Amino acid sequence: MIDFTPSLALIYAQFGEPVTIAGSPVTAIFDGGYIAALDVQSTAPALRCRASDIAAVAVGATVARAGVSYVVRAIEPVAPDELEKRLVLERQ
Amino acid sequence: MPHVLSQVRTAAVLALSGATPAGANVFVQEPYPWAESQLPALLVMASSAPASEYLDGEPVLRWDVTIDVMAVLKGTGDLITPLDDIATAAQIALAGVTSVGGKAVQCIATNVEAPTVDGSGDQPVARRTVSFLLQSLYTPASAPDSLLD
Repeated sequence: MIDFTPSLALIYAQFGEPVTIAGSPVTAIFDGGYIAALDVQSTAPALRCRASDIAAVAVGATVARAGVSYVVRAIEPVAPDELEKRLVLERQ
Repeated sequence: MPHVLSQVRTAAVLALSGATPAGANVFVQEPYPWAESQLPALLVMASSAPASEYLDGEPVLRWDVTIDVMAVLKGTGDLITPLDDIATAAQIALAGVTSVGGKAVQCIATNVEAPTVDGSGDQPVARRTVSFLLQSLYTPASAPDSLLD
């Protein structure tokens, strides 16, 4: 099986940004794409993280990114190797 | 004069504006998309299937008008209680609509939908429609803008 860990290090170094998750600094990739939820202007904020960086993070953890606070609403594995996880965020 | 449905809608908007937690955010046409700055909001819609009545041989329509008031909210935490509060305030406000175009009417709640919540965005969005029946207005069949006694 191919070890993607070195590649992930390069990707996160290139596209990641510093955020704080549950009080700890983490380098993560933010996604805040536009959606219309029940026709209401919204974004769908999420953080893509290396699983090893957020092993202890649970639903309900706080996230701070660029001066905005969020709460983790769901944690989704990123297929296929689950070296990464996606945190679904709710803006506070 | 505007169409009878327009007159009813205008009376409903007037009664609801400032009378609920939605404040002055009372719309008759749904903005797409809703902006956060427009929320909480109410969307007021009026519809009817008029019944024909013949008085002295001249066709007359009786308009029993359904007024649908949809509340839209976005935020964190409990959105159901605010929807309940809006429903209560809307019901009180529309009960105060006793005339349209100078004609006496009665407006009563007929249905309170279960809330719909969507959590796919950065904050949950909730909607609920409360329906009312406004009785009764009459117009000539050929002039839906002219209210009859």
